Amino acid sequence: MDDPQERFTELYDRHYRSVLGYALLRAERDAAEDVSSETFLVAWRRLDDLPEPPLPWLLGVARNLLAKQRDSRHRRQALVDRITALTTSREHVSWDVADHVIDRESALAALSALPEQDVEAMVFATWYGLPPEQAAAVMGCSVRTYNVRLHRARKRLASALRLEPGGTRPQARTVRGRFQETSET
Amino acid sequence: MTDRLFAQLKPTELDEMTEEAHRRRRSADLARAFQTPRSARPSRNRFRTPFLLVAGAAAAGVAAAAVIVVSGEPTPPATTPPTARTAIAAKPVDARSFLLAAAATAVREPARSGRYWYVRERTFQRVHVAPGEYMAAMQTLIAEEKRKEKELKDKPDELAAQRKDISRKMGELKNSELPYQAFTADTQESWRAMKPGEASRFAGHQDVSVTFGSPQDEADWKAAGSPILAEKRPATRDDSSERILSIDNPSLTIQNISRLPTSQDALKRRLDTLFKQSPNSAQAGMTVYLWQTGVDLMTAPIKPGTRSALFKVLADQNGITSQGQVTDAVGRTGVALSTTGDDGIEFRMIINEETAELLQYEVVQKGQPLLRVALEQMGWADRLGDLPA
Repeated sequence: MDDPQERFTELYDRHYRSVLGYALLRAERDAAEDVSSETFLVAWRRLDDLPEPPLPWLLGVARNLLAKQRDSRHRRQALVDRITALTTSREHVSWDVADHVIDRESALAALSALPEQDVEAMVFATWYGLPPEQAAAVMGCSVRTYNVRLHRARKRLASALRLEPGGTRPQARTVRGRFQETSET
Repeated sequence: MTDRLFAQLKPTELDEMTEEAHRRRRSADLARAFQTPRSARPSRNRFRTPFLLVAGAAAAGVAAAAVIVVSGEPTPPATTPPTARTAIAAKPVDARSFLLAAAATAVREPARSGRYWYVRERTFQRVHVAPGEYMAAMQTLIAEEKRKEKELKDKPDELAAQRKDISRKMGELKNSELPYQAFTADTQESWRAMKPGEASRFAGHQDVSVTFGSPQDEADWKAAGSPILAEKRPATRDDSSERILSIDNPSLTIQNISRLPTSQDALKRRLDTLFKQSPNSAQAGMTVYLWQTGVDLMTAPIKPGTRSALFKVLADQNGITSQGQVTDAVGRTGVALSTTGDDGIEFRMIINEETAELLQYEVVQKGQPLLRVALEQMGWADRLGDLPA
């Protein structure tokens, strides 16, 4: 029989992590989980109506729900702040300075200087692997605008990393020294 | 280079947190969804512009607003089953005048309230897939995807290509059509509790019937092994979960819609705001959005003043045309108003001339009905299972 429950379960199992992963970049854990639940409830109501692929649509719903949150617990937070908050000391340590020219903190600092939507464009392109037309649909902008944001983010980031002439090289810090006590025990 | 660096900025904790939350929330999230009725609203995935095309059109600078095509008088094709035919009468009525008259009628209705909001609707829709066969084909594709994910774990480029291919196949499957025309009809009753936390009741799959476009269609169905096309067991479910009233407007609830503005300007401002917040505003123009939201509101307990204001808002909206008097799927007469999205899909509502009540809403493609929902009865009930007085 037509089993919407089965279809929905499959959708949930496939995409829940991606949706929550995005929500966690905008909100605290409880609020992010609530938004993810609500997103899938909307998807359930609209099961016959989902586009293919469904992930950009789900992310778009989650993004809208997050934008609408009013109370402080749910208020949308700065992307880079959330990335920083979610980054563990273990990762600071495992970051290979030699490999990356700069340390993770400097990279995050460079990001925080970018417009929020530019960072978001990078998130969809790099962490989610969404092609521009899908990412633009999630962000509710034209593909052209999205490409501009993405290009700007890459350029500024590259410049911050001094991969381009004109960039200023951030001061490299000795990450290992800083986190020595928590690592390699 | 920057992409590689950025990729490595993704906190590994994210994956652990989402994995853990998926395990922890899964059963509650699924249960909550399954207790929530899926709306009998038009399923548009088969005929609306594909998601990506919409984005592409926006990029090309095409206005996002629906391009309104004035529909002529579509003659239902001979293959339409008689039960689902809308007879178009000759006399045309100007949409704006009709809506303004409806606004004047609606505002005279006395405001009522009650414990349960009752709706009985009969839904007619085209069957696009034989559900059993569809699910089997979908399962095969899902299994294939899982296998590829395992096989190509270390080859992200190849995996991405495979995923794209599977995704395309899924899309084709979702848009596939049966080689014959078949239609289902069924009745659903709902009693929605006004008090948060109280149980609501949904009784669906009543009086289910399957009809075919022509004897040849039926013969083709038999030749295909007579696959089951519709669930025929009636199902009744009581539950007290919170539910979304209007898919396009997640913030509206059955409790708060009675507080919607009753003046035209205030309601229009509110609808404009809701449209901007809507998860689907990128995909549908304002006119189609208003049509859908209008249907959601007209089938819900809004104040007579809000209903009147809604008609005025619709009267001022470009792109709504009247098709004159028609007969709905259950034999009642009303005036049909329609709007056509830029994908050529026509959305109609049929409104009772005397009472300004919504009789039926429908989705039509090339003159052929894809969905029609006749609102047979709406009103207040005191107890679950009771009909409105």
